[in-house]
Order: sequence, then structure tokens, then C-alpha cells
Amino acid sequence: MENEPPKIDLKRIIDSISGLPTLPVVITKVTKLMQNPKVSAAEIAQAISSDQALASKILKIVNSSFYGFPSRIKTITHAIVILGFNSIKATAMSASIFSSFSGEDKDSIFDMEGFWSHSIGVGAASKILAKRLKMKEVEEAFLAGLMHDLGKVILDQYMHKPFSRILDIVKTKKCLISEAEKIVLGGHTHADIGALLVQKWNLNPEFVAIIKDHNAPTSASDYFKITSVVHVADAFIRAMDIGNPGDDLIPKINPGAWNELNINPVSLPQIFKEISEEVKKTEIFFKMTAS
Amino acid sequence: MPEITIDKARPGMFVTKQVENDKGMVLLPAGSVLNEALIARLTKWGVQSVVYRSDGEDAQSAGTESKPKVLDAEVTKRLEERFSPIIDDPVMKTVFEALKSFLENEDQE
Repeated sequence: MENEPPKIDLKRIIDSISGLPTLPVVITKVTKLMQNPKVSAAEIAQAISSDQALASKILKIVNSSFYGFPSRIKTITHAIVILGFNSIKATAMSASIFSSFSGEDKDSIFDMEGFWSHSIGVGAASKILAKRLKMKEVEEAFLAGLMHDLGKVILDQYMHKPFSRILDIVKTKKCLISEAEKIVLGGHTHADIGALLVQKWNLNPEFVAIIKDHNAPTSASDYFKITSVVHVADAFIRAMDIGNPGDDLIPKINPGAWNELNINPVSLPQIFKEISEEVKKTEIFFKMTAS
Repeated sequence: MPEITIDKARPGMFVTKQVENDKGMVLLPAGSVLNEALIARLTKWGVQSVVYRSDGEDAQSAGTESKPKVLDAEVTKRLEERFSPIIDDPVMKTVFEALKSFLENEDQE
């Protein structure tokens, strides 16, 4: 039946999609501002405040039990001073991404709620693993984990027919969704689509690389360690049965990635415990952004 | 038979009607006795209410003996099933053992 995979120019397809979600202007502004090491909290706050909806979401989040601060934080400037630039940027980005994509799509054939549950889970697990490994890029790991499967949303919302075929193949062959995608998309997967999307958004090359390679991390990449974190986080969240990644399987963890993280097996049960708690906290965070 | 919302469920309650999720998957068979861990899990899974019979048992007796092995067995079974295609891989075996250990301890809290 499928002898030759169809020749597909994925980039052309993605480029031709009109109405692809863009990151809010404010995120691009903030990212640019933060490239200057001398930028002040007040400047960042001013940029964020230009988007009233986002600003009030951030304030709601920082005052919630997610952060657990004892006294009320009333201004964005104050929030930035307390949480730090990186944390606020990550909060703003997560809130924006989640809002852009969590809308109701009547034509959706995908379990969106399960998808977000899985993505939030991988974000939380990536954060815990990065912390444990004493990596600097804890917030980046969280964001990358959150975004790693965005390609699936693009497939669902903009490439309906191929996606429908993909889900059918998953059902009949009982395979990983990536395997089904390769058959229908000429060797490409949601990882490639997601990478193209965040590239269009002008995000750091780090995010592009992590999303592209999260199923098959490669030591040739500059971002091997953080990609391995998201790769392992993905396997853990699937194993813990959190959310719905589109299939019901647990993939084998890439041995190179596992060695790179060098986790002592004795500490694994405790790691699962921390992941479980972080996932609960993070879910609260997103319930607040949805409103 | 009395039905209560999940936030009013208490350890020791005897569940008389099987609890299903909205996909018809059995989350808890009829005849289970609730304990803290089960209530937490049902809440997490979005269960709104349970049909129960107050057995006159108090919270104390929902201890080790009446700890329902049934739900644990189902969770364990699903875990083993999902890991069976990859259990030959030493890394995945390690992950499996650790996850099992975590789930067993979580149950006891």
C-alpha cells in the first residue's frame, strides 16, 4: 500500500498555512529587552503592561498557591523583582502559548485536554530533572517541555486530513504516533513541524533544536543535555500515565540520552514523587491562565 | 442508595456502584472500600460522585486489611502491560521498578 513515502516539502506546507498562531507582540518585545543585560525591571514591566490581559494573568499566577508568597504582589515590577526576569519571561510565554492554542476547535479530532495534560506534565518533569541535574536552564527546560509537542496541534488544526489518517494508523497498528506520522508525512513527524513553528516565532535556536530532536536526541547537537532532559521527561510522563500524547505506548529511552543524564537509579522513586507534585502545582498554574 | 459528591467521601465508605470515567473505563469496582489514597485518586481522575453504603465501619478500619487490593491490582496490571513490550531493555526495566516502587509508596500515604 504505502511503498514509497510521499515526497513532502514540510517547510513549504507550514509557510503556506495562513492564520498560523503567532506569539503575542509583547513576548517578542520582552525577549528583545532581555537581551540587554542592563535592562531594568521597570522596563520589562512596562512592556508586559502594554498587554493588559497578560499582565493581569501574570499577577493572578504570582499571587496564587503556585508560588505561595505570603503577601500580595500588586505590580508587575514587584513580581519581576521577586521572581526574576527569567521566571517572569517563562510565565508570560507559557500563559501566551497556552492561550493561543487552548481554544475550542469544533473540528478537532484530537484529545486537546489530554494533549495539554501531557505537555504540562513534560514541562513539569523537565523542570524537575533540570533542577536535579543542577542545570542553569531550568525555566528553559520547562518551556521546552511544554512546547515539545506543539506540532501535533498544528497537525490537528491545519492539516486535518493527514492527521486523521495518522490517528487511524495509530489505532490499527498500535504504534507510536511518530511512526504513523512518518508513514503519512514522508518521514517527517510532529517534531519537525513544531521546530518549524518555533523557528517562525524566532525563538532561541535552543528551543528549535530541542523540539526537533526530542524523540531522538543526538550527541552531535549543541543542546544534547537539555534535549535529553525533555526526551526522558516525555518517557517518564507517558509511563506515569499523565495526559494523552496520541498513543498509549511507552517508548524506549534513548541510551545516549540516559547516559548523558546519569541519573542514579536509587533516586528514581523520589524523582517520580517530585514530578508528581510538580505536575499538580503546574496544573493549577494553567487553570488560572485559562480563565 | 445514597450518593455523595467526591469531596464528601470518607475512608471506610463501601462503594456499591462501580465508578467509571466518561469513556466507560472502570476506575473502581463495586464492593471497594474507600481509603485516603483512593479518594485522592478518584478526585484526580475527575470523578464527581460515588454511590455508597455506610457500613458502620469507622475510618480506623480502612487500614491495612481493608486496603482494596483491587484498584492497586488494576494499576499494577496496566503498568505491567504497558511496559511489557520494552521490559527487556535494561533502562526501561529500571524505570519500571522505580515507578512501581513510587506508586506503592504513594498508596500508603
